[in-house]
Amino acid sequence: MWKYILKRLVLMVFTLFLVITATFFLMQIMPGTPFNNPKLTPQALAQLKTTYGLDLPLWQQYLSYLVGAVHGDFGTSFQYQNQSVSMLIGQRLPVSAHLGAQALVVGIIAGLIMGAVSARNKNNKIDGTLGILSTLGISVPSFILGIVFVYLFGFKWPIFPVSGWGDSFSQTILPTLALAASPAAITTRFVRSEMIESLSSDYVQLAKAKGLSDKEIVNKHAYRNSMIPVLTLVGPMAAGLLTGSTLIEQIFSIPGIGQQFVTSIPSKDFPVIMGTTIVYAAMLMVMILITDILTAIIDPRVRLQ
Amino acid sequence: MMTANTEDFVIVGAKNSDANEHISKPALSFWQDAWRRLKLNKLAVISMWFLILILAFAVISNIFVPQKDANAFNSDKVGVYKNLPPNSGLPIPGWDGKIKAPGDNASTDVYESQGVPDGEKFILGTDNIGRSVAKRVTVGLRISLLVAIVATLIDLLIGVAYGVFAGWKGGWIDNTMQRIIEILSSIPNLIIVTMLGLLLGNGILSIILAIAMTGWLGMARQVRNMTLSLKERDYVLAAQSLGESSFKIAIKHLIPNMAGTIIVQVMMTVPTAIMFEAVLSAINLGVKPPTASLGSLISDAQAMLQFYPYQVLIPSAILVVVSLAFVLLGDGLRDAFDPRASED
Repeated sequence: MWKYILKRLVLMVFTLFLVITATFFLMQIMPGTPFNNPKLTPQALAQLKTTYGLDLPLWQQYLSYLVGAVHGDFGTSFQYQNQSVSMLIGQRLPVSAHLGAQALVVGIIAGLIMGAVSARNKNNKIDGTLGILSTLGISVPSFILGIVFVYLFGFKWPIFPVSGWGDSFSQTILPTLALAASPAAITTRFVRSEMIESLSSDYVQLAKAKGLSDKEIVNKHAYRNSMIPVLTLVGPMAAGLLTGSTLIEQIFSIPGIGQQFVTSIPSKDFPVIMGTTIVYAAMLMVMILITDILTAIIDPRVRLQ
Repeated sequence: MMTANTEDFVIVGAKNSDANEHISKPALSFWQDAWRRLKLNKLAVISMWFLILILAFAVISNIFVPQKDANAFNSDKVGVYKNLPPNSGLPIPGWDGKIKAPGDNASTDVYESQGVPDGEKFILGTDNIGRSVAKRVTVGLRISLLVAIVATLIDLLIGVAYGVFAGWKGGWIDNTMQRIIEILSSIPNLIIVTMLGLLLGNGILSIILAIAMTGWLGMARQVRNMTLSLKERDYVLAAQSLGESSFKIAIKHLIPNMAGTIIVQVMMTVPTAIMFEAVLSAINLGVKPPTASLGSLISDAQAMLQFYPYQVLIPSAILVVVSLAFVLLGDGLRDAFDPRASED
């Protein structure tokens, strides 16, 4: 077990190192920095470059960036003067984490319920309806769902606020639902097929032979065993949420890192882009690692592999 | 004691050996069988015809809606033609050229109030500088499909080659190649797409490349797993003992036998590519204006959602319907190729 965790940790650190290196050198060859404004005098330009440490040799810049990144220091933003990137990200990260976690929890719980209901009602109308809903949930990108929600529940029937964050719980409802749709759909499909499989397995047959009621069989045997594999979905779903949340944050004017990432791209604020990229990659990797370890703890079969 | 004579026995049924050999149903090949099962799935068949129609429309529309036509606008008459609501010419509420501004009680005929010449109408309305939304969406759909399909084809090429090579070679080569996939897939796709988008700049080709760079991982993983199991089959051994080269075995034996998996994977990659194109547009890395794609149409009009919802909702609806058709057809194909999966 420890060996497994250690192996995964080493791979993770190596991947992060690759991401940092790749982003650093990609940014070096990116066309156009905020500094190529023709109005800047050579002296002002030199001054700016010294401020941001861009006059040093490349390897020195890389090394200091790497050392900084390990300490959580990603340099200073081009766009917001004297604001360190880690501070900018630090302010916004809790908002994004809150939104993402809320959406993931809502999505998974909804999916667990709908998947179980679907499997119990296999091939009848309820199953069919849930099947259509989950297919829709998979095919509709979250930002389109967000736009439709804003239109319907913000403008047409103004029930919920459609922008901002942190003033009231009702502000979080629409963005959470828009983001939760896809995890809910993925979980529903997965739990349905897992549960149908376990309902026809030997231990369920045995439970039936013992004379357990259908309810007990489902609750005690089938459902528990179908829930564990859902954990393996959390990683990919979190990756999907990352993509979705950037646009959702923009649509609902939520001050998270996604929104910052989006606004820093047109202004070519490279330190912010790099910092956000690394934070994103690290978050996703930690997420996948945690779920993998949890799966290994819960399901002994995984450990043996 | 009785001796058994053949005359004592009566032949029941099976009169002759020919009758035994008679095949009552025509023998179906793998593809015929899959097609037969696919036809039973109504949603998948509808999706298939819908996609064929959409693709045909995207190609043929080149003739009557050229890109130039959809991009052009009359700068002197922007005030007359801008933001006209959809007008079908029929008195259908919401599709009759009238719009109810937020706060107003009665709806106004915008065509009349902006002084559009009589008889001129836009079936899907116009955008903020007076270009026909119908034309913009036609071109946008074409570009989005082009981006998604070409990106998926590149994924297909890289993914299959990578997967077959890793699976076939095995050993440390496979191990290393698996680690590479593992590393790449732990980096969020959004980041890879954004980085490449930034690096390559705006343009259809760079968008295609950026999207293709992330999509091949899933394909490679699946193809590699299939190769691992297929290469143990007897027909591969037979081909090897006949001295067939590895390349030919891959082309003639391995790939055709995993075609089902590959096709399903392709169907699932296209909607993702369509979505990523829209995401790129939303973060300003999409097609260069005035070129339209579904994504750029959505993100350009999004700011005016409250006032001109049709400008956002029409391209959104098209994007969703096309993605949905691909997913439904992919689901149907998966069940058709692997009947065990759907018999649950």
